Amino acid sequence: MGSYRLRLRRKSLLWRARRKAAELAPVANRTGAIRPGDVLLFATIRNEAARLPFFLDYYRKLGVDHFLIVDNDSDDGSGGLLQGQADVSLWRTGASYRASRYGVDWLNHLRRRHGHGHWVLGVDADELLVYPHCETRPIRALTDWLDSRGQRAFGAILLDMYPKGPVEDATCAPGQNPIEAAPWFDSGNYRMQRDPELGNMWIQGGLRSRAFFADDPYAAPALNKIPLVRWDRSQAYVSSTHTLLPRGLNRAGLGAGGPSGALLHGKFLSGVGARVRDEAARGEHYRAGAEYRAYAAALGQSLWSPWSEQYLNWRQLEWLGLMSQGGWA
Amino acid sequence: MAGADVAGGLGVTLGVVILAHEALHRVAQVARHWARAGVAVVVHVDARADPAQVARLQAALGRQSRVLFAPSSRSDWGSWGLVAATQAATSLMLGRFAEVRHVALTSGACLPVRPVAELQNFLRAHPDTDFIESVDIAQTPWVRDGLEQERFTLHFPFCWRRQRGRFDAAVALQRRLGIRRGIPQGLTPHLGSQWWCLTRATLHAILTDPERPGFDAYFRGVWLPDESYFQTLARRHARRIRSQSLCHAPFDPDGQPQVFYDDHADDLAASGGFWARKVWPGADGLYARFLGPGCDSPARRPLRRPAVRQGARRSPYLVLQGVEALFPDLRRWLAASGHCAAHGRLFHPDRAIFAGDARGAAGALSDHAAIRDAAPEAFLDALIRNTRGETQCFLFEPGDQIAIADHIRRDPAARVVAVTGASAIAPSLSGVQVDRPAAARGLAGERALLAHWMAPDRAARVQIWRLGEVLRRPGPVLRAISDHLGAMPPPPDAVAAAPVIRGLRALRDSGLDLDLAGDWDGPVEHADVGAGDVAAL
Repeated sequence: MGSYRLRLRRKSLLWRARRKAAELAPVANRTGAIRPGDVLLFATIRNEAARLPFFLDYYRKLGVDHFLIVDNDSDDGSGGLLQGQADVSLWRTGASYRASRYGVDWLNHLRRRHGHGHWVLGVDADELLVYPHCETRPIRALTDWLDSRGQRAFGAILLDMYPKGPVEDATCAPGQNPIEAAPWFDSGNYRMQRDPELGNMWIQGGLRSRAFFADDPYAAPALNKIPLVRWDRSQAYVSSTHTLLPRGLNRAGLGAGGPSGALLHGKFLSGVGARVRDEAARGEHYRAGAEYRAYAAALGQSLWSPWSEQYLNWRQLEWLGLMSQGGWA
Repeated sequence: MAGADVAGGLGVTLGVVILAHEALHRVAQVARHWARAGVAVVVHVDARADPAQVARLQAALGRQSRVLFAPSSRSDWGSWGLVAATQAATSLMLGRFAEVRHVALTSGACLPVRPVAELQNFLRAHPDTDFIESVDIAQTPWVRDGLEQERFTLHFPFCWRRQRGRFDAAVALQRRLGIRRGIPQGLTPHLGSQWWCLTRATLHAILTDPERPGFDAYFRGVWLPDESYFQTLARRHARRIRSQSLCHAPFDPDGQPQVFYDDHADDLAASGGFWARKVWPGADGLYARFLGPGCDSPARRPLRRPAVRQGARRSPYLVLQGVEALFPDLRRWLAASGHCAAHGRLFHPDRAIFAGDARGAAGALSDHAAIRDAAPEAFLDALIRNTRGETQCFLFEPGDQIAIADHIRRDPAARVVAVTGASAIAPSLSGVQVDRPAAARGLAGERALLAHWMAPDRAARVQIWRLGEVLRRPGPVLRAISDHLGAMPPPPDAVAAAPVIRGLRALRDSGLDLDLAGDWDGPVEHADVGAGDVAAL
């Protein structure tokens, strides 16, 4: 009974995605260049011109072969920047981010259309994926290994990174690694439980729980992500990249004892204040910007604490118990 | 003979068979490498390999006189086809390369990790030795997942990989019915790694054994014959077996072959194996290092990096109840020891009271009660994990968030030291009057807590004193604490016993049940020695 309900829900997600596809206007469709076995990255962006050069560079170095990006009405030159990249396919939309369930519907459509049979990566422009051995092994090494073990999804914890001083003083030039400007994170204040319905690990805690949601911890954002999945056209993300259907993917992604990673979340940098004001005013973000309003109040101060940890590498995160190499030695 | 070979220089004395399935561009690279070093190579390509890749492989190796292709056939993982392919390839090898003295069996994911000349010299020095891991299963447990003996005595009509349910059912059914195949006369079942290196004499004897049709028919029905056919038959024919593979092919904890990447280069060079399996086809760095220019110079052998393994065991921590009431300097004493963090009441209802009254703790834990109480177990576990290497001590008193007590009790890393009855007197320690309602509340809380500590599913170490005992002899309770911590500074003073006993009497006489405090009102002269006894610690 429960599984039938989830099946209906999955079908309705796919149907929604198809309906929302009409909102996407192709700007540069280079998907013909995608070859079998390529690793594809899907993202929705809005005004990320400052972050994109490093973002693209970072994921190219990991071995991402093609980027499929939805530009949600940027007016800072992001569109032109992306259009000029040979390995980027770009769609543009002026439709509501919120009504597309924060871009999930758009990307579900593109994944269904172009991702079938590929390993697909779903990240935001301010998220950098770290997986075991990522300095020495390309992402294909990971996906080949996951294939050999029959594992179809790879989970990660979202780690909020922040600078030591006031957030607005931490500037990050285009092309610069945002983690250099915001190298600090909370290393050991996370709590997790398994969601009985969708089978995913639900993780909360870290900076945002500590600094913005201390009085209402359950309202703090979810930090569990499943950013890397072997895609099949019958699959769909339910909310952001937190959960998927069919739900077996959620269980495989995190907490199953296999390898897992971290998404370094370089959100808290100079300019976040303006972005927060913009988002809160537009009410286009999750929970109508309530989260963003909570930040706005606290962004004047430093988020740093004497117990903050400075980022070194994936081995540090594994030692801290935030990610795992599982059996992938 | 070995001496003659060395003196004669470059005879083709080694043959390598490569069983290839995929990533055939790597097979071409490795085959060329062997051939360049004077090794005869026979490649067997699985019938299901990508035809375009096969054509490229044949084109790449076509002009190599020392490389031959065996007829292509199906050679699935763990199937008889793999053995048949090996038989065909090795027959071709022996028939076409008369000088070959040893034949090594490798896979398409194998990579030579030592100079080929080292392997050739090694084999010339052991001209009559067969290198094949070959373990007598009757005597040694070799595999972990059962079916050691039964793989030789049951029928296996279903594929373990694709038809797991039927495979298991067939095994269960045969066990129930007592079905057993006979093992052919003259064979003693042996198991071992597929990646062997046999002498021409042994291989020839196996391939031309007059009983071979019967043996082959039998092994077709054995589960995973690639791990047992040559391993068993070598025992029948070999003169000298060294039961060891020349191939470095470790398994991971899941029993799957470990895959090697560029960052394993030093490990492979130090492994001692002449070739390694299995190498990720995308490991450009490994192929460049071990097949590229300079690969023929003996490798430097770096020290093997010790494996980094996270200890699953959590470090012990100390939970102190009712102790500070009797030793007001308790936390200063603990902190002065230098090897523990002395927290206050971490589970105080208002906020977590960390050591030094800090507003946070390692790992950026917050002192906020709401965050802590959203997941108290995660909070405690995080604190313990975040402070690995330093013992955590904290106070836990009646009135604190009791929900965590069950978790602590079931945690083998927890050490609980409790003094019952202490909360009756805690409010009066400042020297003022006895607070009867507070004492009654405290004692009720202690009773509840005691039930938590003593429940039968206890895994923590719990030590409980009664107030009366501690008043009489404060030494043991402090010793119990320091036993968990190591060398400690001089013990703190206990509160003076006399006023405490006066307070207790007042409470008792007001009608409060003080059973938790134990036997405290002995003859007055005993009660009065309390404080002085600390010196005896």
